[in-house]
Amino acid sequence: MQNEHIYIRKAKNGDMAAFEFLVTAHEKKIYNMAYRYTGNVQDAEDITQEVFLRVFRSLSGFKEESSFSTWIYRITSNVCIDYSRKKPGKTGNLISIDSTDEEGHEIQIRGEAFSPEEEYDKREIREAIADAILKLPDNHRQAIILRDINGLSYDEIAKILDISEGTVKSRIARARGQLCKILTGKGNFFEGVSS
Amino acid sequence: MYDCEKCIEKMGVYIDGELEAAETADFESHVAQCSECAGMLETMKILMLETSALMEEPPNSLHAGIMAEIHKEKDVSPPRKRFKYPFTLIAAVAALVILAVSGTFGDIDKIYLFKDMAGSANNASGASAETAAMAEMAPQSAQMMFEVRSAPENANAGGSLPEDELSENTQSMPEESIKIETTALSAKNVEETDGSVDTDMASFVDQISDDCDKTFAWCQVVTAEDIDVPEYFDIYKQVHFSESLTYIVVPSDEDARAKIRYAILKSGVNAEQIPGNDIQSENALVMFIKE
Repeated sequence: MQNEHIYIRKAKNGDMAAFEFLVTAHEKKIYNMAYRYTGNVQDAEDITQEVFLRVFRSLSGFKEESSFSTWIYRITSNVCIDYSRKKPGKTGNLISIDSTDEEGHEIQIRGEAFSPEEEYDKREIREAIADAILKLPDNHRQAIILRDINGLSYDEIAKILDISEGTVKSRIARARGQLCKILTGKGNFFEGVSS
Repeated sequence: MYDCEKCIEKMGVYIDGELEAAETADFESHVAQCSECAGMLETMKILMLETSALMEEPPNSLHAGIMAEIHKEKDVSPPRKRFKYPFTLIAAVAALVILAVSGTFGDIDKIYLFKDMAGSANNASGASAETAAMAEMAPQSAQMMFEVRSAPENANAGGSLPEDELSENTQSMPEESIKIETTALSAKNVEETDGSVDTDMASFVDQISDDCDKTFAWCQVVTAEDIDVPEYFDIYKQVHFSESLTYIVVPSDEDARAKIRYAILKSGVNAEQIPGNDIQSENALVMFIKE
């Protein structure tokens, strides 16, 4: 965002209007990350509020070495992890699906396997995808949301999650593979809609 | 050689267009021969397309909820504000910077002056005799000059402001002394309360005061790396600092503007109007701080 640094500096000096400008500029993407992470509107609102509270409290310490966007996403990632710790299993039932993480360790995927019916419109497809995202492990879920919903580059995601770009690529590839497996698991869901 | 597992793993990167060229040929070759992977590739494309459409508008209550929490937080414990740049930046440059501030509060017009004592003002383009004299002052400190509003008749020239506040402490930001506005201390008082006042600085301040037809006082501050923001500065919303420039919003009053411009010119600071037609541009001056 052009001139964002000016608003950041003003907000650091206690200018509430400047801070509100920053909130307006970033609340939608933060909310969406939280919403797709939790699958729950109220939890997403709570997480978004918590993120901006943390931003408000620690803005004076923000050195502007990274972009404001990267910084606020990193805070969101941390708040989401805290949420998962406080509410384990909130996003689905644990079932075991064969899969391994980027280090080759076996992991579990949350939730029930997708069970499609006959034909789906786009809205239903998106709902199915959103449900499937909730069944991914936390770290895969964050990566896929940042990449495929929020549209960030691999490089930005690496900075936000503090992992290597290679790990980001691996996580996203596996997350997409898992989503495909979940969505096609029982009924060739996509084959029905793409034919 | 690609097997199905590797093919599926690379599908997303392939769709992103980020698969390396050498690998792309192997990938496409496998997909051409494997109907299952070809079907999966189509599935993956739809998946990624539809996933990207999952961005939604937040509920209307979100923004108000965030700001309510922020205001609540602010009321409970105001954030500590740090006032780094004027002192650290200015200590690092060999330039004289005048910040002129038009208050949004009543008719207050103020000029602040920060000086790098560690550098040589003689190097600054157009440096005046006054700035050269200032450069001889103690290193690791900066000067701050501020306008003093006329003292009301009943103002206490020395009572409400402890006389030792200006002189007692130059090791930390003398917050009390900055509140000089409220105690209506005059330039003369500064000299009286600070026995070690530098006559060169005093004459410079007098000169600027005469030029601008206003009364100024000054004090010495340390160039600490990180100084708490004095509460006093909270009202100066119109001084803007960024990584690359510092700019100020000047008064709309042309006469006041001219005086401020003159003071800036006289100090040798390279200042230009921000290009643009918006209100901010029309009312701002850019201070280029030399690296």
